[in-house]
Amino acid sequence: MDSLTYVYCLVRSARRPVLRGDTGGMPGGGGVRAIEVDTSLWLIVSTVPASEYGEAAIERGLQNMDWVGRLALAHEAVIERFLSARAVLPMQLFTMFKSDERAVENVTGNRARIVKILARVERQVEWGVRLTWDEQAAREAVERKHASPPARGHTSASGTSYLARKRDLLDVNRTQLTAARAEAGRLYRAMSRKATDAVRRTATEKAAPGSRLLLDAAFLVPAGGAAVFRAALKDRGRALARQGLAVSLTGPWPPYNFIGPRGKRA
Amino acid sequence: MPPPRKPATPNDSERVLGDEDASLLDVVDNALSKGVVLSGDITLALANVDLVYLRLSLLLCAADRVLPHEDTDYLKRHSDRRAARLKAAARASGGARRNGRA
Repeated sequence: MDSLTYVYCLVRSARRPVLRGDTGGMPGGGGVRAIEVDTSLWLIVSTVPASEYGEAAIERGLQNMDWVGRLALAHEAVIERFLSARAVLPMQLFTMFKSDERAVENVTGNRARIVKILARVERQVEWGVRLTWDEQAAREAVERKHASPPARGHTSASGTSYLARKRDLLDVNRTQLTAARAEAGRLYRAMSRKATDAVRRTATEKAAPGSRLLLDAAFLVPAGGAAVFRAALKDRGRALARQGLAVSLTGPWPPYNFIGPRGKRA
Repeated sequence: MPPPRKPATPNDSERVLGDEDASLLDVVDNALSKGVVLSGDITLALANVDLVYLRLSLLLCAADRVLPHEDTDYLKRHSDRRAARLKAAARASGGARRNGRA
């Protein structure tokens, strides 16, 4: 056994998926190939040397984050080339078989499960939305509020307003963070209404209690609906920015968060 | 005449919502823990995956900026490829819309 079949993803496509020019793939491996598993179902693979991808090599490699990162990017880059297919099912990193036949056999054996997942994500891609609390920007928002001259009739209240400003600045950490958490919930619910499905990765949000990450969510969005989704997010992002909350969007991703049993690890 | 008051310019949100590239940690997290699991001939011991996660969380806690410097080169390549693909996809979907897609 000196070579292995490395599996990137399964692709639903009426025609053989096109693998143009720079095929990339796992470092040290052969070109990326498409194997027909079933009607309109393709396994995207490449041949890799067992010396670099065998169990011992992987075990060694996992000690090194730089190595893991480089391979994860190579794996992801191949999968992303099929985002425009009817459906794409990304495989877990380092899914390998002793031969092409073994890989096809395994997919066939899991056919029922796979077909169900494929149907769920057909013509859908994933977008990631994060909301982070920017303490500096929140303080600036308070400063701005107090920088404007007091309304007519309250001109004598300069001492009071000085104290109000002081109080607001002290409150930035407490009150504003609570308000910001509520905003995160509202943003998640609003964007969920613009998506086919949504999942909030609360585990990441809670990973560090003092974290500035208020929302970490994934949304399943129709492939043709990205512009609408972005526009809706941009609208909300503008209002949130005034409160010192920064919205970020990543994607399109393969539908990683919508293919497994809910809450398996997330 | 005083300049118009604008609490946040459209450019601010453009900046926040730009074509931000996926961070390395996002890619590792997704590929390692969320892909479809087939029982391959080579299997990852769960303990090993957990080890990777331990390192990931250490990295996350260590700094706001999660990407180590040495990664910028291949991250940039990844980001360039993504930008090219997005452009091609935009052109393709624009053409499809003009042709009246179902």
